Amino acid sequence: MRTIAAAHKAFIEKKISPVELTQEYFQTIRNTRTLYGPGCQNPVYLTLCEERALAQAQAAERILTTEGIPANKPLLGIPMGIKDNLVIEGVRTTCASKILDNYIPPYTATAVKRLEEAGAVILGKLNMDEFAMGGSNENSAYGPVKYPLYGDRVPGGSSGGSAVAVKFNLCLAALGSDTGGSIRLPASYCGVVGFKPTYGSVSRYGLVAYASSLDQIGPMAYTVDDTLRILQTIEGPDQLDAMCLPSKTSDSRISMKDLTIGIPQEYFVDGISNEVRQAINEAIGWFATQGAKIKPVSLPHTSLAIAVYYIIAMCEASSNLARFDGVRFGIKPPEFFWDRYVNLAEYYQAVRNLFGAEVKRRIILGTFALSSGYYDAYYDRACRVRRLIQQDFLKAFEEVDVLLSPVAPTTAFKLGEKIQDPLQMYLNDIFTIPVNLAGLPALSVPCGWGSDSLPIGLQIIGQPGDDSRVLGVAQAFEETLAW
Amino acid sequence: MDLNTDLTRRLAHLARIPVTEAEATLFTQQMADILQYMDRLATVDVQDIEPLIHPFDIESWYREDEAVKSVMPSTEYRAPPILGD
Repeated sequence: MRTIAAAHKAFIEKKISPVELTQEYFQTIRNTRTLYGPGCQNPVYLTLCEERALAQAQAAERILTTEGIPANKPLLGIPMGIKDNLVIEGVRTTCASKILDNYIPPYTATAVKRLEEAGAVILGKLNMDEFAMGGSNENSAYGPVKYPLYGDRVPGGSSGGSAVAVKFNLCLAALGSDTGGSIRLPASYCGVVGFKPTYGSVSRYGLVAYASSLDQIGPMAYTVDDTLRILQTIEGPDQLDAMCLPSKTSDSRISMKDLTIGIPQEYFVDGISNEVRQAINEAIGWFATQGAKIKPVSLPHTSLAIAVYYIIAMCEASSNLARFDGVRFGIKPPEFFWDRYVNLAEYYQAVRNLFGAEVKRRIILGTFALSSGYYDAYYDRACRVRRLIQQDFLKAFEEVDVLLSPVAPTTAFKLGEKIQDPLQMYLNDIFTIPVNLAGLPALSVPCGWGSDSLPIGLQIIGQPGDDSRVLGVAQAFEETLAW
Repeated sequence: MDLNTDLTRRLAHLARIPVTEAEATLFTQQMADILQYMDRLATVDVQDIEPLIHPFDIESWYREDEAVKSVMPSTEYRAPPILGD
């Protein structure tokens, strides 16, 4: 059972009850010791909420018995995983960092609240790169997530736990967050669907901020239809997020003959592996056979996107992570003795020493780029080039409806392959980053396999607010693939 | 951009992040590579381009000025005791 529709059908036909389904998921998670539990080096879940989930499943069962599946509960009884940077009241939230090792939030993120109000059952919190900083899920303080069956491969990051959980049926669907590709990249590497909505579509209230002008919450599921259903549940205005747009995505049937697809020329240069290039070209070819017009477009500032992104992200992160100081947030380090003379600066340092290396590096670089004397050359300049990058896209969209591209230059790489060289890791995000800079909606849908049967994802990029069309195009494509 | 270990240590201090000698040396090397990559932005002509801080032009919206229950957790929340009391 891999879809919401299938689960609901099974509920109605009394083949399984919501409680039984939830219990099955917990049993699978607990029995797979490589994925969870004390001593596990590569946990997919960091925290499970069994009691809470079973109570939710029981409530779902009561509704099912009396009303069936009501229209206002489209996710009734559906077991979901939540990336560990979204807060849930009373449930440990770590952002995969030692600095939040025992943090219990006093409130629930709007996106999660909306899922629960729609009847979803929250199984637990999923592993990720620490504070969403990373592209391989190797930066987790609790152990890197591995892509099972190919034990030596990364699942992609930073929503690596979410992608693996969906792919290996440890939850029916999950929420991730995407700042520079963190939903789309793991979705591509693991062979599931991942969608980053238009910036502002989903309330960020309750998402632990990494880079506020780039972060967006999005669904990850086995099918495009499920991705849409989850998006419809979580999107929309929220009093608690001033940047939220009145977004309303609908199920669109796309007429291929009326569709003009742009192929960004700068994305198809050397560096893409042959198997990825072939898979993407075949996908583009399929659209052409269906009657869509295919048009090359140019996004001239593409080669600057990584530099722009990392400057802006590091600057915003250095500001956002200043709150983790052991006073507002962050644990008291165990070696800290109250009877020793300290000043506040030493205390801050003792707590902030709990950040991982990548987080430290980004905060230090962000501090540099925002400091007087360098602000103009780095942060201010990056923001101006960001506008040029957005203008590239908007100009291309005057001639085409959507863009197609690879999600990543290769299939999943090996654990340890890039972690020693941060710049190499950053360059992997070349296709996903420009989308966040411009605030556009983009989706990764599986489109083939490389060697070792490693999945390849196709990226569909849309115009601002045109999420319905992006999902519609993905749905039409998905229907052709016997995935 | 000349980033040396002294500057790294100073920046780390500004950010209240302790770095060991080994970390300072390693970070300096890694960050120097990254900054060198970012220097490509210096060649772009941005003279008449406004910085883009937020992706879209949106305006602040306001609610009615009436007293409503503020955002508080559903249960009475109290900061946990720290000083052993």
